[in-house]
Amino acid sequence: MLASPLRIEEPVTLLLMHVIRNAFMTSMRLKSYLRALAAGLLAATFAWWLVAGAHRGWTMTSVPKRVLDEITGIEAVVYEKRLVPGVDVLGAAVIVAFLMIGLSCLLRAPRTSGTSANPK
Amino acid sequence: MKTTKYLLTPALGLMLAGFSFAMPALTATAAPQTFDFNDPKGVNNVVFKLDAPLEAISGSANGISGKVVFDPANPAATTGEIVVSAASLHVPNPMMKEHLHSAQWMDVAKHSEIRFVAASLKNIKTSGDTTTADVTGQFTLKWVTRELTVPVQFTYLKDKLGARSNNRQQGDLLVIRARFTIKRSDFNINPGAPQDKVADEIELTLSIAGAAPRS
Repeated sequence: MLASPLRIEEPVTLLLMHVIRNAFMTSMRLKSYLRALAAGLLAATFAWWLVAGAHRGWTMTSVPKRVLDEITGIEAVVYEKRLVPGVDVLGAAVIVAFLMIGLSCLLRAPRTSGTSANPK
Repeated sequence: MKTTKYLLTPALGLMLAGFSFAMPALTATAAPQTFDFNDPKGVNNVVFKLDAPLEAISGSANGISGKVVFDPANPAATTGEIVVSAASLHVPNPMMKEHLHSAQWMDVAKHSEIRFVAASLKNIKTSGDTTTADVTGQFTLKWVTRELTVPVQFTYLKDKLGARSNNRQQGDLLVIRARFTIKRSDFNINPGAPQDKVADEIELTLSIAGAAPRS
C-alpha cells in the first residue's frame, strides 16, 4: 500500500526528469552550436576577405581597371562589377560573432534543485 | 630649244600645281584648330585622390566635354574650356558614392558641372609634338570660382584621328595631361568634415584627348 503513491508519481517524475534532461541537453547543444557558428562565421569571413585580395579599405562593388588607349597613350579607368569585401565586412563578422558568443553565455542549464526525484 | 621649251612648260606647271596644293595644306596646319573633348570612346578621365591619415579615397570621372582651340605653331594662343559632369564622379564603394553626390559634399543635383576655362599660358616649352605650359584659368566647382594656374602638357598628334576612328574620320588629335591640387575647403565641399578622415587636399589628374576632324 505504501508503494502505490510512488507508482502514481513515478511516471510524472520520470517525465519531469526527461524534460529537464532534454532541456539541459538542448541548452548545452544550442550553446555549442552558437559558439561553433560564431567561429565558423569568423573563419569563413576572414578566408573570403583574404582570397578576395585582403582589401584594407571599404567594401567595393566595382573595381577600377586601367585600359591603355594605344593611339593617345591615355590610361582609361574602366570599372568592373565585382564584390570585394573590405574591413567593414570583417568588422560586421566580428560583431555578429561576439553577439552569438554573448548569447551562448546567457544560455544556462535549467535548475534541478527544486525538482529532485528523491524527496526525503 | 623647242624640245626644252615643251619639257619645261609641263614641269613648271606641275611645280606650280604642287605649290598651290602645298600652300593650303601648310596654312591648314598652321591655323588654330578646335579640338572637341567629347570622346566617343569614353577614354577621357579625371582621377581624384584624397589621402587623409585615417583614410585614402580615390575615384574618377569620365563625363568630360569642352572645346580647346590649339595652334601647334602658336601654343601661346591656346584657349578653351574643359567641363566635367559632376554626376560622373565615381568611387568603388556605393555608399561613399551616394555621400559624394549628396548635397553635403558635391551636391551634383544643383551643381552639375565642374569647369576650367583657360585664360592665358606661360612658361611655354615645345619639344617635337609636345608642349608644356602653365595654364592660368578660372576653375569653377560647386558655386565657387577661383583662379588657378595648372601645369599642362599638350601632345599634338597630327593625322591620328583616322587610326582612332577606324578611318571613319580624318584629322588631328590633341592629348592634354595635367596634375594639380585643389583644396576641399576652398570650394565649400563639406568644409566641416574632419580632415583626418577626408583630406583637405584633392589631387586631380587629367588625361584627355580631343579630336579635330578635317572636313
